[in-house]
Amino acid sequence: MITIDKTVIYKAGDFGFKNYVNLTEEESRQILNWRNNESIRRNMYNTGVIPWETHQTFIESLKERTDRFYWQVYEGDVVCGSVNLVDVNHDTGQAELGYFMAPDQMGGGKGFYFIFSVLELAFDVLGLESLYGATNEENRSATLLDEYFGFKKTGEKTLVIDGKPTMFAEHILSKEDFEKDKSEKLDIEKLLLFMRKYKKANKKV
Amino acid sequence: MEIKDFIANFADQFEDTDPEEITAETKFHDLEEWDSLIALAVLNMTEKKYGKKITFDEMKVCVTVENLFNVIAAK
Repeated sequence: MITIDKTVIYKAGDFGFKNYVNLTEEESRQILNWRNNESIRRNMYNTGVIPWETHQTFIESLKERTDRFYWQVYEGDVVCGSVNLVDVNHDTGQAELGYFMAPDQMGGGKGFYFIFSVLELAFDVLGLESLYGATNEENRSATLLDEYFGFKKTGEKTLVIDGKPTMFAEHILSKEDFEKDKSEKLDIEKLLLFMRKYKKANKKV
Repeated sequence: MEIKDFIANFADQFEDTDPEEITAETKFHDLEEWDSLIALAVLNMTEKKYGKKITFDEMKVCVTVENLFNVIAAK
């Protein structure tokens, strides 16, 4: 049985996770501004701009819900993104994972550690058994990291985004697969070797 | 540490980008292939080849390959 406490600031690796329901207005506005940034929302199911009032209502609804949890992610004094678990099944330990990094934190190599800590939060801290999700196939860094961390592709779905059909890869990661060779997954040389092989195999023509 | 060698080593971190495309003046954040993982590869390369460690934030503020070279060379 999974228990998630919204009042707790969880820790995994060098990262801290503060639930949306405990954020100040300034922190909530910062998260919303990032979420509405074009570079972030183009990879979402809903690519529209979310108004502040809608966001406030959404946060209010999270206070009562026990099936969805959203956290601000920070490292030291720097807020670096957001992670969420939705459709959390407290009996089976399964949930859908979503996350994004702050636009000013992207492209510096931090994403690798960010995602690893998100997976540690889900499996090692919260005790989930499996995570599933869908990644825009055009987001090559994300699909590469999904595969590197052991996500297994279960299918594909096409969503119409901004009037254009967009392919999303559906995948699942079990706790067992994540824990397998976990310490080696943080080996940068291993990641870079995987990245080269992946890019060769998926070379653009 | 020579800039010519550094540019060659920098270009070597890319798979899809033509090495000829990368010069001292190249604004590397604008390269189509530049992403978080290439950044990680570059940081790893500077440590392995030159024994110099720079942070994500130091790299983030560099605009051109030459800017990056200067930051690393000054370490």
